[in-house]
Amino acid sequence: MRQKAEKGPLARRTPRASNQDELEALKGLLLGEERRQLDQIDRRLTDPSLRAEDLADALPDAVRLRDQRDDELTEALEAPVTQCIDSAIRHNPENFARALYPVMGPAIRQSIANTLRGLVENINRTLEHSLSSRGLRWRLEAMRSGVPFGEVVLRHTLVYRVEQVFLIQPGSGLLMQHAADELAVGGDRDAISGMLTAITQFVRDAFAAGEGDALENIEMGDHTVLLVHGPHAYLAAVVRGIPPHGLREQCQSLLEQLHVHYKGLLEGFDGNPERLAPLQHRLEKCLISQQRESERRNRRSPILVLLGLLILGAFAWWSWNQWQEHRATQALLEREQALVSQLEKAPGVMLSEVRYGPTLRIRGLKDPLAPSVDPLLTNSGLQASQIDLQMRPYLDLDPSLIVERARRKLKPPPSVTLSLNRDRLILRGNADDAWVKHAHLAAPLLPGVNEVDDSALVSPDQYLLEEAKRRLAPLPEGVALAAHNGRLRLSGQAPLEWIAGSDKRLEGLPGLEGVDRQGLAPAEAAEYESLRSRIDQRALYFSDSGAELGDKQQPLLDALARELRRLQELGRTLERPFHVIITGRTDGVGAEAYNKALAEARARAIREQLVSRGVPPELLETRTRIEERPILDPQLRRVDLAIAPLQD
Amino acid sequence: MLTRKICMIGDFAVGKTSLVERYVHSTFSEEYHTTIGVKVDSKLLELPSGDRLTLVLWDIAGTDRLATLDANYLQGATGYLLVADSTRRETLETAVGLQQQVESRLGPRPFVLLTNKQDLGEQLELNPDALRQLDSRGWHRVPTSALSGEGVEKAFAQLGQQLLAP
Repeated sequence: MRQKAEKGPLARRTPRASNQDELEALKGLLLGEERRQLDQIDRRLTDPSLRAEDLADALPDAVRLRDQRDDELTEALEAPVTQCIDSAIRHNPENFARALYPVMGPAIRQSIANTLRGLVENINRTLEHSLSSRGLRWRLEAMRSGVPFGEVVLRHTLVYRVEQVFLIQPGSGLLMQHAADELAVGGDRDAISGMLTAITQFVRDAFAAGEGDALENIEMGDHTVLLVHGPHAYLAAVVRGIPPHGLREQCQSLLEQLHVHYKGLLEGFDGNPERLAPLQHRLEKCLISQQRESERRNRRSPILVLLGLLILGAFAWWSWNQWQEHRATQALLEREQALVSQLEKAPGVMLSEVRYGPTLRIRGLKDPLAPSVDPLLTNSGLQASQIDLQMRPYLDLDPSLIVERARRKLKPPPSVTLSLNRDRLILRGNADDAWVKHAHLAAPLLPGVNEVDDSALVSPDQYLLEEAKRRLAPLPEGVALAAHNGRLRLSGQAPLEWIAGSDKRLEGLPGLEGVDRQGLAPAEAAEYESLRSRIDQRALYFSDSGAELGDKQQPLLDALARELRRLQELGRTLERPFHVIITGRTDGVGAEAYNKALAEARARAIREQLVSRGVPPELLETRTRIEERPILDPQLRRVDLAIAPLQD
Repeated sequence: MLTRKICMIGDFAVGKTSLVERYVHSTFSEEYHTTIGVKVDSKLLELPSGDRLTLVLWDIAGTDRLATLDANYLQGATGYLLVADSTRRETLETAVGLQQQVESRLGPRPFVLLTNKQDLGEQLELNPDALRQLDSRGWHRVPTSALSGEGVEKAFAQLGQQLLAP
């Protein structure tokens, strides 16, 4: 186009046209190459399609380079890209859903995982501090304030935490944007922004501050509000704990960046916070915190250990007491049950109410004739205060009580015993006719008695005999009893001991007038006599003319010693002392002196043999007997034995 | 959703605070009136048209003329409620004076005049001629009673509509 425009006027100019042409030709010759290049550059600069091509070549590298240099490009692209996405989603949501599908799942999973991790951290924190003395203090605080324990712990373990950041329009106090962490206490953000602004304005006005002066800090308790002011917005950071030195600078820098990058949005804020949504994540970067190192993580508080021990001790003591109490209760119950069981078995006792417990309550009926229950109560192992026993009297038809009642009413003589068979009162023994008559009249009036049976009543002598037999039983063999006119006659043989005890056994026997023992001999006396005569006949023979006993005599010696020992016992019992005379003998052959010595030797030998078999030596006396005439008789080579009663 | 700052302005004891109490659940204590002279609340307003609007309500302590500080509190307000006590004639005059001051500060802004304490029927003192004159100036006027709640919602809704009007 330009070439044509240039050529037109040149073509109309004559006569100097040829000069011009020549000049052009000359230029063409001199500068032809440069002009072509210039034209080419010019075309590339002015032709949009060529420029686009160039830009397409350079753009990726340019973007990469700028991105490496700073965040300008990102920030510049943020708004249009957001708008593009927004528009694209609105026009074709399906495409986006499809594109996002593979992203959504992992994103959701990650979000859940993060939430759970937060929860676990919170639980760990809570557990870590639950059992320390400080933890108990915080728990009290949580109870007082109604704030969850985990939050109280977090607050105390924080050095600082930026809980909320407000971006506020100065003047109007309208909230432009806001970011808060999950622990920030809610509230009316719009109203808070307004009030913060009002307070700022109030302070500025009240203290007539100069231009540019503004409230920068509000401190209350463990909260600090850092205020950072800018021309179109101011920032209020709500900090719990002690804000670090650099926090204000950080906020200041953020506010400056916001003013640089979003000047238009801030300046033109019309009360629609959504327009400032892109600022949100920048504000969130300010939500920083630092947690105090748990300096005493592994150290156990002595107070806590003591407290734990105390609790443990108290629990053990309580358990021990419970167990003891349980055992005591169990033992008491067992004793109570045993007593009740005995009372239930006791004759003439009926229980109507039993209540177990610390005090055993018993109500019931008791026959006045029944044996007292006091021994049962005393032996029950229960204290008197533990038994509440109340018995009302009644008539019991237990056979033993019917008999007892009959005994008291009929007053039988000692020679009569009473018993009951069903409703029949049986009289045994011996009684006079007057009493038997009285019994026949009175007994059927007693409860439980309808008939009286006196068939077992006997004559006085018969009763005496039977009663005596009963009392003296078992009767030794060979003893006979007889009764006549109230006198009892004993005859036969009986051991001395039995004879001596019989008097006592018969004592008080009703109707006994006297005892005749003349026919009764001690059984020991007979044995004494029998043994004595057997020993008297004993002789011990010597085999030759010496003092040595034959072998066959040894068993004889044994028997003899046994008999002598027994005889000594009997003699002592019967008070019949005796001596044993051992007489040594010889045949008549030989000199007299020799024979005498031999007889003595034989007697002494037997004595020694008997002593060695347990016969007391003082019992034994030796003698000799020498034949006057010489007789050759081996039967005389012997020793004789004889029992000689000792006279007092 | 849009957020709009509005102010409550009126003479002493005309019932501004009672109206706010009637309208919102306050976050902050009454004491702010006597300490810094203002109390801020917010309220989500839903208009019959379906539009939603957050009203940030600056309840400025009662005054018969605006001090510097009160004037500062007006900054950025997009509308206001003028409150007069129907049983006290002078409060209407104060309201008119305050309206002029506000307008000189903020420029023309939508506002609604609330003639409060309508529940005290027999003691109403406002001059009907004066009211008619204000009506003829195009003032929006809503009779209210903080006690019975009469007209309260209506007054806020009317201001809200004006704020959203193009």
